Amino acid sequence: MANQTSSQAEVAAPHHDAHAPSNVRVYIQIFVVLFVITMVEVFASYLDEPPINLETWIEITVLVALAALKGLLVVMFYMHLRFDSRWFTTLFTTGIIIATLMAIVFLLLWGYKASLGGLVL
Amino acid sequence: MATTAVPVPQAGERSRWATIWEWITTVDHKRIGILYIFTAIAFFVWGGIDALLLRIQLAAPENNFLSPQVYNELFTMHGTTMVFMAVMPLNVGLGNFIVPLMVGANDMAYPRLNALSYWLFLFGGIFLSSSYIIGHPPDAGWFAYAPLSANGGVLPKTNAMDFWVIGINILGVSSILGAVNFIVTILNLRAPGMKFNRMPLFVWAQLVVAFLIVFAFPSITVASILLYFDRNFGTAFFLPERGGDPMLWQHLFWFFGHPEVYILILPAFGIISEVFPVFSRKPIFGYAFIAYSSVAIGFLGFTVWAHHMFAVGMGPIANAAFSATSLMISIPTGVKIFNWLATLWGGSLNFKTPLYYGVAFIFLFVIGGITGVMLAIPPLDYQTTDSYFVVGHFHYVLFGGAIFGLFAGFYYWWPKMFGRMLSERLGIWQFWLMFIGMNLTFMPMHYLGMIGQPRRTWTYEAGMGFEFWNLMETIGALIIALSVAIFLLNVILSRRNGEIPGDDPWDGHTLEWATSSPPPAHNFDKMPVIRSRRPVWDLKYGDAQHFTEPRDVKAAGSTDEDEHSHGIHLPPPSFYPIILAFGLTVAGYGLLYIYSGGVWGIVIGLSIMWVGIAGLASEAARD
Amino acid sequence: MAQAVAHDQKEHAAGGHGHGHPPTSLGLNSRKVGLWTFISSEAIFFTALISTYLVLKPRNIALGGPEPQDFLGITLTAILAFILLMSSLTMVLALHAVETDNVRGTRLWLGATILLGLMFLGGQVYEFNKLWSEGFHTIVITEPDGKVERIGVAEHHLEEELPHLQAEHPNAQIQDTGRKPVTWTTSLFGSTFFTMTGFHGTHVAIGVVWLSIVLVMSLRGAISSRNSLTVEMAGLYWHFVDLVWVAIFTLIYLI
Repeated sequence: MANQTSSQAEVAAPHHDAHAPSNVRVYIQIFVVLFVITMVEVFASYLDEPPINLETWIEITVLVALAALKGLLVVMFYMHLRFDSRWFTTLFTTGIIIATLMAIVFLLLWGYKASLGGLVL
Repeated sequence: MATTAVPVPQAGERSRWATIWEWITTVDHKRIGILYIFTAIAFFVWGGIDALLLRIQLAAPENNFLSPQVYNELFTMHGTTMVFMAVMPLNVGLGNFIVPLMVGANDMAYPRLNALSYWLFLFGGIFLSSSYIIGHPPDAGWFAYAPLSANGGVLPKTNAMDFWVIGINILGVSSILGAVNFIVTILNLRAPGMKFNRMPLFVWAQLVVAFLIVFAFPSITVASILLYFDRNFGTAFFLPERGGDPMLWQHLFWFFGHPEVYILILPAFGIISEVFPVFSRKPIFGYAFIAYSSVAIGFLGFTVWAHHMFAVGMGPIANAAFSATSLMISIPTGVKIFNWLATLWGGSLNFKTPLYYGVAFIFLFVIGGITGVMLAIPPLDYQTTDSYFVVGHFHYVLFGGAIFGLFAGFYYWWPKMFGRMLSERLGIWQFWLMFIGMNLTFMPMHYLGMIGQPRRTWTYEAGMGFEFWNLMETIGALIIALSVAIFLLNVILSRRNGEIPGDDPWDGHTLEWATSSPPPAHNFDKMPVIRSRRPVWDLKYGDAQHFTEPRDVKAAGSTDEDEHSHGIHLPPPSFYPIILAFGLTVAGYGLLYIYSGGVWGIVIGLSIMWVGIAGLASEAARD
Repeated sequence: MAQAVAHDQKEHAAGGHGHGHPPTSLGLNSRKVGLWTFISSEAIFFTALISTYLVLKPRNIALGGPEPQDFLGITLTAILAFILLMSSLTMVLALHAVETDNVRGTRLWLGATILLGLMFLGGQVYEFNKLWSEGFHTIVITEPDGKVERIGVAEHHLEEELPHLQAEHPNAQIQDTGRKPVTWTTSLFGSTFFTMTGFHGTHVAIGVVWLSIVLVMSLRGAISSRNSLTVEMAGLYWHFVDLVWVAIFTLIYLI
């Protein structure tokens, strides 16, 4: 494979895996969404401070949800899990489930309360 | 190492060096499996010698055979060696040889990575063992509880635990890479017709184990790196006097440590599930239950880790929760036991050595399982934790379970691996000695634990009622040693005098019996059509409705391989895996002497690694 | 798993990527299956590091260690997060370019990704350096009834904080234990923070090296749509590293 030239003439039939051909427009749209969410995140991190003064647990819930949304978008569109084989999703999700379990149980064991409401960070 | 003296399947008239070179550069899963097995047997013997020395020390009260420090070193190295350098690699070795054959593949998914895993295992083992010679052997126990392991404390301040930390990480890299290889091989390289619900149960077990390794090892990696920082760079993750939290070590360690128990035992479950149907001449009873209960055990295994820590004061809620999840594990395990018994029930039993080991496995493992259920109950655990009761419990699981399972596997697959049978007579002798020795060694430990003998303590006073049974245990350990010696003798004798088995000495069911013994480099000349869970059985005894004529591999296989003679693409041998593994080990020694010029060791090690990585990458690009 | 079993015969024909690889039982490329497995292992690696940070954080504060929000500037991290997001975009653009055999585009976007990765690393070096030069004071407040409280005050807040503390604890004995720099070893915050972000930075650096190798291959004309997998694999790893930063950004900097 290494000795192939990249000249346009030699291009054979498309060699994609199961996923749909990558689409520049979608990539850029996703980037814009990710960028906007990041801005919202920065804004949301001031929610529990004056003048808004929301409860800390609301801020944390919002922030964690936004981060999860960003992660989901990256995984689904930039890492192609939306279009690729279910097997990759299964492999990745299994790891994420065990990782989440680990993090939650560790936080519980160290006395963070059961709901995010009590999260003392 | 004894590894290069292994019999070569097709011994030609090549010189000795050519043969050694061939084994060093091999990427053949069968040779790598054999290397794994012989290296691991060497470490098994070494770890056994550690255990014998411990038993001699404990044979009499107030004995002075070993000093307390040496006793600490020996029990630490006994545990570490047996877990990481004996049982795990024995499982990997058997899996390496058998799994690709069982699923009908030509090799593992990444043959060069496979070689890399082996060399990392060998060098990691040598690294840890070199502590006997050039330093001090690790002395804080195989679970290396901080702060004892972090700053010396009552132990002398040496780099002993740095050997442990770095060695464990080299072995960990080996295990993770090997596990990824197994997962991809099993998911992706099955022969046509080998659906998931037709895979042999040994393959299922190896698949679950590989996932356990992939998900459990990162935790010990993080924990041990933090421990290294605490020991060498002045951080205080686990040092309570500077605000750190020793409980964090325990949780990170056991998040790995408990799945590790299943990593050790599940392959034995798989072996037993292969041996029972063949030697009772029946299909396995409850195939799906056995397969899915392995998955259930694997998943539940990540939810029970803190049952190792009931006595450290987590509080009643945490203790109750982890007790409940631990008790739940006994359900899928019990499912397996009943299915195995039902497989034997009514079968026409062919009582050969593998079945002896298999039946003993059930007996011993159930004892270990029941004491496990007892220990999962916090009030009982408070009374028995850190006593010999626990030592007795886990030796019934890991010796009566894992080791007996492995011996069943050795006697079962030895003819396939080497083209020679192991002697049945010596096998039966070995079995009875091991069975008696094992029970004599570990059964009294339950009693001694109950009456209060603490584990990890170098001696005991006379007159406490410990003397008689400790002496018996030492005699039992010597009987086990005799049994292992007979096994080694059997191995040596079989090379010359072993019966030539033919392709299928046991009248087997699974694909490895469809090829020659030992198999050719490309594994299969003819591949049977896989229509059921017992393709080879179908081939031999199938009725007319099943198409069981062997068909040519080329026809079953692939598209554009015209240029290869037998239609199978085998990767060429490679020298780079051993280079890469060597570089990482050099860097490991650099980390060991970080304050006395070790930085240069790291630089040199990383440079050597880079040569290996670049070489492997260019070879991979050429595939 | 059940529907996959039903599919696996059908997918047999789908084959691996490129030529020379026999078809696989899932119809997927083996290297990609392996990489995804490895990525999920890495996810647990980082979870262990992040959990370590989170569970030691209250201890750090109780012991009078530095308060994270006094030292972790959101502006700088937001810029770093933006850089990594940007690099993820250029990464997928590089993949798109190679899939459409756009050689110049491949090189351009790979180069851009590498550059953004280096910028991220530069930002991290800057941040580490800045933290290293800052200091904090552990103030020990001993109440008349013998209760002891420790509070970590950033050096740059000391002037305004001390009078506050004196007002809040009028009868207590207030003792300043002196300046300590915010380094790896002076507090649990430093230990956990530098370890976690350091390992993330190491992963970014490895990603930069990997992408550079791919770029060199592309410059030698060894990358085309036939082996776009080479780019895709590097990309998967790169996006994963970005993903870790998404988590660290929220859990460590914003909350």
